[in-house]
Formats: sequence, C-alpha cells, structure tokens
Amino acid sequence: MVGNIVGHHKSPYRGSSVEFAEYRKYVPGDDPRLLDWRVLARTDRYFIREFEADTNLRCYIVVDCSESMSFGEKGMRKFDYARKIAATLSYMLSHQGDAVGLQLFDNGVAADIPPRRNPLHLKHIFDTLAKAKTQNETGLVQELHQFAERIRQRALVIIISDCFCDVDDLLNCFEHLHFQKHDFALFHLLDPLELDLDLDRPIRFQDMEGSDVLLAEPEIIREPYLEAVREYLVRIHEGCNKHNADYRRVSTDQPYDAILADFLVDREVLAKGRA
Amino acid sequence: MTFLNLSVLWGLPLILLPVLIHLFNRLRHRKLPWAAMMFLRMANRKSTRYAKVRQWLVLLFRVLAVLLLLFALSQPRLDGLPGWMFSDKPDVVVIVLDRSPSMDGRADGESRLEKSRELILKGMEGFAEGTRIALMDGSSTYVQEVGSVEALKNMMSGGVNDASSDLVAQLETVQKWFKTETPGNGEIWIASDLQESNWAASGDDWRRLTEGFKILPQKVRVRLLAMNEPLTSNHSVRVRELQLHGDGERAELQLEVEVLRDKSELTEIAVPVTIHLGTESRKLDVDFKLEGTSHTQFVKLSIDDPDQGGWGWVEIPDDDNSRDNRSYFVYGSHGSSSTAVTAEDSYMSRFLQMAAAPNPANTNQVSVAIPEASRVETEWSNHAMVLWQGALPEGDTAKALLAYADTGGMVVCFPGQIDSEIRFAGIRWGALKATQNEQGRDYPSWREMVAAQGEGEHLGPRVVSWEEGEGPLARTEEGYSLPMDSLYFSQRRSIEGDGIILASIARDSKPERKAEPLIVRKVRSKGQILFIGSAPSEQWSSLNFSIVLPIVLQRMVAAGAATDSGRFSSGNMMPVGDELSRPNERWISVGGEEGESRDFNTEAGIYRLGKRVVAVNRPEHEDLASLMDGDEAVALFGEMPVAFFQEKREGTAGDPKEIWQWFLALMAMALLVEGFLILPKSTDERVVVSRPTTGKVAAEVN
Repeated sequence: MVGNIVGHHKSPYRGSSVEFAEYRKYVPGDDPRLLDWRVLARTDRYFIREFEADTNLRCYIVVDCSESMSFGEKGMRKFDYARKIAATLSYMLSHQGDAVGLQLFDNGVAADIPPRRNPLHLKHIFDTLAKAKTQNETGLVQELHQFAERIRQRALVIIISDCFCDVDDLLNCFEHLHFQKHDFALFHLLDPLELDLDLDRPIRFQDMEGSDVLLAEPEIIREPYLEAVREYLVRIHEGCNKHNADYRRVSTDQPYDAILADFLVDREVLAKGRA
Repeated sequence: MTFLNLSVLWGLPLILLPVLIHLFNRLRHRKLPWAAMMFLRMANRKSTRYAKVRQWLVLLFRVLAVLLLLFALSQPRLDGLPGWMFSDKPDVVVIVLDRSPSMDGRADGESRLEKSRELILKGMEGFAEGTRIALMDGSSTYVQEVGSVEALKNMMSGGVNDASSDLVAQLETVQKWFKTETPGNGEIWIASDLQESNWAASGDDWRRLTEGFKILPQKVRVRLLAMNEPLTSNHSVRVRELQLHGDGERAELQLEVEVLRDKSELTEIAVPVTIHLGTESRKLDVDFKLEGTSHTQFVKLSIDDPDQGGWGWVEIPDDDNSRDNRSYFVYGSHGSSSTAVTAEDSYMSRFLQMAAAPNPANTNQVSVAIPEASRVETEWSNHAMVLWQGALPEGDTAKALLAYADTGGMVVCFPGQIDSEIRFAGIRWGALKATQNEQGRDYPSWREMVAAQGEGEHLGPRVVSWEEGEGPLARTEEGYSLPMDSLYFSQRRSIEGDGIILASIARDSKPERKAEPLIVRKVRSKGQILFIGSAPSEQWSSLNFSIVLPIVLQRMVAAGAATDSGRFSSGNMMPVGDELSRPNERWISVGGEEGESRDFNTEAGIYRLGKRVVAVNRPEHEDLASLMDGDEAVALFGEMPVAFFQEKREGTAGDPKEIWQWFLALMAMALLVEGFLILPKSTDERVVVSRPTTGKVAAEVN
C-alpha cells in the first residue's frame, strides 16, 4: 500500500520500521547513518541495512445510488444494505488509521468525499450516507472509468452496486481499474426476488430507471429469466477473477455482518500471502 | 347419441370459463416496479415456443375438461346405430304414436304412453329449429303437421284409446304423406309397446311397406321407442255373452264374464268383480277364483223391467293397466221396432208399410216410407228392417245398407218393373218373367190368371219347396206350414247370384222341371238380406193377398229388433273401431261415469244413436296383449336404418348404452394432462442461481 503516513499496511517502499528487510551494498549517496558498522568492522565491506516501511491505506468506497438500488422490501432495499456495508467498512478502516473516501453516483457523481483519516471525516461520511437518496439511471460504467482516470495513486476501491448495466462495458471498467493498479472489490447486491423471480399471476413490470413497461407471466418467463441472470452473474464473476478483484455476490436477505467478516478475513489472508 | 338431460347442454358456453378466467387474470395483473428489466427483456425474447404452446395446451385441456363434464351431466346415451351420431339433422320428423289400450300399462307408476311422450318431447328439443314435425296419432287417420314442439306437446296430451293400432296402416299413411308432401330426408319415430296384434301383418305387407320407403326420393330412417317393459300385475275382464231370460217381473239377465291374468302361476287368487247395472243404479260384487290364467263364470241378475232394456258394465280393481279392467254390455229392447219402406209406387209403399206394421194402434211397431230423394241421408240404423222394392240400391245408399246389415239390420228386397244391372250384396234381378195364357198374352194380374184356370188347375209357376226348419218361412209353433204353395205369380224376376235359397219356384210340380229360386237369403255378419223374386201387387203376385208376406215380414222385423236390442246375443256389443260414425251421425255416450264425454270411434262405453244403443268395448286381442322383442320389431323393417331405443331394462342386451362415464373418464384424463403440463420442473432440471451466505462465489460454469 502506498500511503503518506505510517499505517497498518505494508508499503512497497523501504522505510524505518522495526521490521528488517535486507542488506544491500552501499552506493555513493546513501545516508552513511544507515551503514551497518558491525559488518564493516568485521568484513571491511560497506553494507546498508534496510527495514520494511509501514504505511496507511487509501480506500475509496463507491456506492451506486441509482434508482434500481431502491428495489426491495422497505428497510431491506439494496441501497439500505449498501449503506450498511459502506458505513461499517468506513468505520473500521478509519479506526485503524486508514484514509477512507466515499463516492456516491447515479448517472453522475452525487457525492465525492476524498479519503481522510480524522474522526470528523468519518462523521462526514456517515452524514452523507444518511442523506443519500436513490435517483436516476445508473452511470456505473462511465463513473468507474472516470474514477480510474482521476485517482492516480493506488488505492483500494470497494464498489457496492447491483451492476445493472452492460456486462462487456462493466468488464472494461474492471480492466481499466486493474490497469491503474487499483485493488478493487465488488459487493454485487441483488434482491432475492431478482435472483429467483418467485412470483405468480401476470405482472406489469415497470422499469424503475425508465419508462419501459413489460406485461409478462412469471410462470412462462421464469426459466429464460433465470438463465439470463445466471449467465450475467457468471460473466461478472469471471471478469472479477480475471482482474484479481474480490467478488462478493450478496443477496439482501443474508446478514451483512457475515458477508463483511468473510470479506475481511479473506483480505487478511491475502495480505499475509503477499508478505 | 341422445341426451337424457338435454337442458344441461345449455351450459355449453361455460366452456369459455377457463378462457375468461385466463383473460380476467391477465386483466387483473398487478404493477411491480422492477429493477432488473434487462433480464426480463431478454427472457421475454427468449421465452421458448414450447412454453407458449404449453400455456395454450393448458388452456385447451381446461376447456376440454369443462366440456366433457357438461357432456357427462347431460347423460348421453349411445343408441344402436352409432353412425347416427354423425348423421345430418333430418328435415322432418314424423311421430307415429301408438295409443292402443296396452299403452296404458304402468310398470313403475308412469304409463307407457306418458313415457313415450316424455322421451319424444325430450328428443324433439334437439330438433327445435329447422326441422318440420308431423304427427301420425293413433287416434287419427292422417298425418298432421305440427308447428312447434309446444304444439306437439299439446297434440300428444290425450290419453290412450280403446281401439287397436294398426302400425302397418299408420306407416302406409306416413309413406303416402312423404310422397305427397315431398319433404327432405326424414325420420319416423315410432312410440309403441310392440304389441304383437298391432304389429302383426304378413311378411308381404311389411316388405311392400319397406320397399315403398326405399324407392322414395328422400332418405327415411326409423327410430323405434320400444315401451315393451313387462307389467308385474295385470288382469282383464270381459263380458263374453249375455242372455235375457223370462219377461215381466221374473226376468233374469245372465252374463258370461271372463277374467284373465298374465301370469300362469298356480297359486289361486280371488279377483273381486263388480257388476254395475247403470240403468238401475245397482251393483253386485262377485269374487272370481283364478287358478290358471283365465276364469269364466256366469253371473245372474234379476232385472226389474226387461222391456225397457238397459246397460251396465263389469269392473275389476285397478292394476298395472286400468284400460282392460272394464267391459260394457247392453240388454233388452230399446224403443219401438221401426220398418223403413222404399217402393216404386204409392200402392206398393202403402201395402208394405201395412204388412210391416199391421196395427196402427201399436206404436211400438211402426213403419215409415222413405222418399227416393232422402234415401241417401236416411239413418238406416234407426230401423229394425228395411223393405226395398224396385231397382236394387247402388252407390252410397248400397254401402250404407250393407253396413246396416253388417251390424244386425234386416233388409228385404222386392223386384221392380224397370230392368237394372245393379248388383247388391252379390245379387242382381234377372229378366222379367210373366205368365202367359194360351194365346201367348200376359195375364195383366194374378187374379185374372186365377179366373182363367180350370178346376184343380194352378196356372203359372208355384212354390215347389221352401225352408220350413228355420228362418222367415219356418213352420208355426204349432207345426203348421205357411201356405207358400198356394201363391200365384203372374210376374216375377229371376234372382242371379249366390245365396241361401229359402224358397224355389217351378212352372209345375213335375220333378223334371228345373226349379228356380224365389226367395234367397244373404247373411251378413250380424244381419241378413232377403231377396224375394216377386212383389206384392195385383200385377205381380198374390203376395198382396196371402197371409205369407205379413208373417214373413213380422218375423223379419222381430229378428231385426231382437238383434238390435241384444235380446239373444251380444249383437249390440262391438269392438271399438268396428263401426265408425259417419259424418252426419252423432253417437251420444250414455254409459260410464257422470259427465264423461266419450268418442264413439276410439273409446269404449255405452253409446246411443237414435233408438239404437250399443256397448263398445276394446278389441279382444287387447286383453293381456303379448309384446314382441325389440329385435323382432327391428327385423320387420328389413334394410331400413332403424335405431332401436328401448326402455331401460336390467340386463337386456341392446339397451342404449349410458356413456356419461366415458365422458367423466375423458375429463379426468384432460385434467391429468393439464396437471402434467403445469407441473413445476424438478429440482434437478430447474435453473438455480447460487447465493452463498458469505457472498463468496465458488467457481461457476456458464
């Protein structure tokens, strides 16, 4: 992790931490204070002692607040679920000294809070999440591309969205983020109803992000619907795997604490693996 | 195929119920804001043809299930000719209704006629529009077209008759109707109990009938409603003979009464028989003990006033067929004995009137002259005897007189001056033969002939033999012969034709001379016709002088009156239909219950026409009538298509099959198929989207 302050995360740069890294030959220009005098005295050779440098984490939590995120039962809408995940992660990251930023978008950027470390910043994030409303169509692809371009410094990007957009475009976004060397995770939020279409009687489906209307009998279209959903989910999952992204398929009827716990444990394991 | 409960088919529009529910269901869809529209659009595009076809199939099987249920409820029955299920609707349906007494049989409370009517009306409901309806009623002699089913119901509403049915005659009438009316293809519905006597006819008659239908330009089919369900308990009663003995206060009426039963059980039963004397308002109860199938018993009743005559009936208690539980009878004299006289001239007319009714003070024996102009409309049955002098009757008058003689009337014919070729009852008058003198001239009168004869001589022909044993020329009670051989004939006509010769005449008594008939008798069924070869006048013979003619006429009129009154036989008891009322006759019902109006031509009872009173009963073969099998009846129609529709009878082969169970089974199958089509896919086949509890998705295969 590249940070400008000392944190819990391992930096790619050598620093002054207590963790010994390696010996290296002295070259002119090196700080003579870093010479290992004991080695010089014993072997008459100039070696420099290097230590691991610890840094803080810059995390961007990107939350989709398009109209489709308001689907679901009252109190258990996808957006409610997204806010809980975003708030929890912000709190945890902030308390371990990482810088947490928040970006809300629909078809444009609804709120953009750059990463900060201070406690007041956390309050600002909570307030922003609390006041956020779902509206407009989703602009996920466009916003992620802009985000990848805008944030030059490597960061952890946590995307929380239902990803109802073209899969190919979305996979391009992932590639873009990966190309910019961002570490990203996707919390793919879906309502149980969207996953199994467990409905009867003819229903007039009304597009939440547009004016389209479709009269259909769930009994007739359930099979092809589930096929389409399955294909779409598999492609997203594969896309995430391809770009080393952490993919979490979340049904809003599942407890979010279990989802987050598993996510964090996996991140920990991943961090140790890298070490 | 016929439907017993045809009204259920009015519910056929209910088959649209599943379609309506489907449409209504689509109309009452709910709105649902939906986020994942992209998948819905894809699914809608991809929804397979099979899924849509399956939905239509589900709908179709639901409609089919309702349709089959309706069919099952309408109680369809498959008759003996399944091809009829697909046959065209006939242009005309002619209903031949048997109203014979046996149709009143009640196997289960409802008479055969009522059942027939019910079935016909139910069957006609399917032909309400576009099909002409015609009725050949058992009480009618012609086919009558009916405007509507309602009118048919009214026309068939009457009860059974006491007259027999003649199915062949009825069907011949229907055949003629098809020829004259030339309707389109037709059906003949015959409702009958298949009584053998009504269907009995020679094979030739039936063959001729069916051939006649075959050559008709229309296709004619027969639907046979056989009401031949056997009766469980039926008895019949009949007065076979009656005799009136004695006179005055000691008169006694003897009835020969027969009771029949339709089971040859050996168990002895007592049948109470009630004899009603209608004129004397009396009744007598007698128990008849039956050991076999029939029992005949003589019942004697004292009669207060036999000269007045009377009538009555015998009756047994009500059973499965009430129509054969009563038999009517008449007895005694019914008014004065009248003689009708028709003659060429007034002298002859007057003489014959005097000879028939010699005592003007006796109003019980009268004679009337019938003018030539009113002979046609004369009601001959009002008279005990008819004296006819002159050319023999012809045309309608001859028919009426023959019918009169058939029913017990007496007719005496005398020749006239005018030659005629007319034959009456097979007899005609031959050439006029006159007795001539030695010069070859005719004697102008029999008296001149007598004056011309010498001592011991008998000029002209004389009666050489006559029937003295019985009949009008019989000896007197004391044994004296009538002076037939002392008659003189100056003029006579020979009698040509076959008959019983009562007296013969010859030129002289020599045996080698051939005798010619002088008096010939023709016996009709109950009456007789007497032909006398000469007339009672000066010009013809000494019949106007001798006592022979008044005696002969008195005997004839007595026999006529006796036959008329039924004193010696059941001559005035006739079966229904044996004699039909003519257009100008009005038979009045005098017997039976109070206020009952009866039809002389079709119903049993006591009837009066003028002074003539008759008892009319059902024909004898209607008693305990035996019924044919359905197969026998169908076989009579030969190659004609016949659908045999029989009353339901347990275990009888050939009954129309009730096939509502088939429809129920088919409905169950339709529901099963429908259920199979809407069955959700098994877990293995179902598309499942994985939802891990931790959110971490394992490797998936697309």
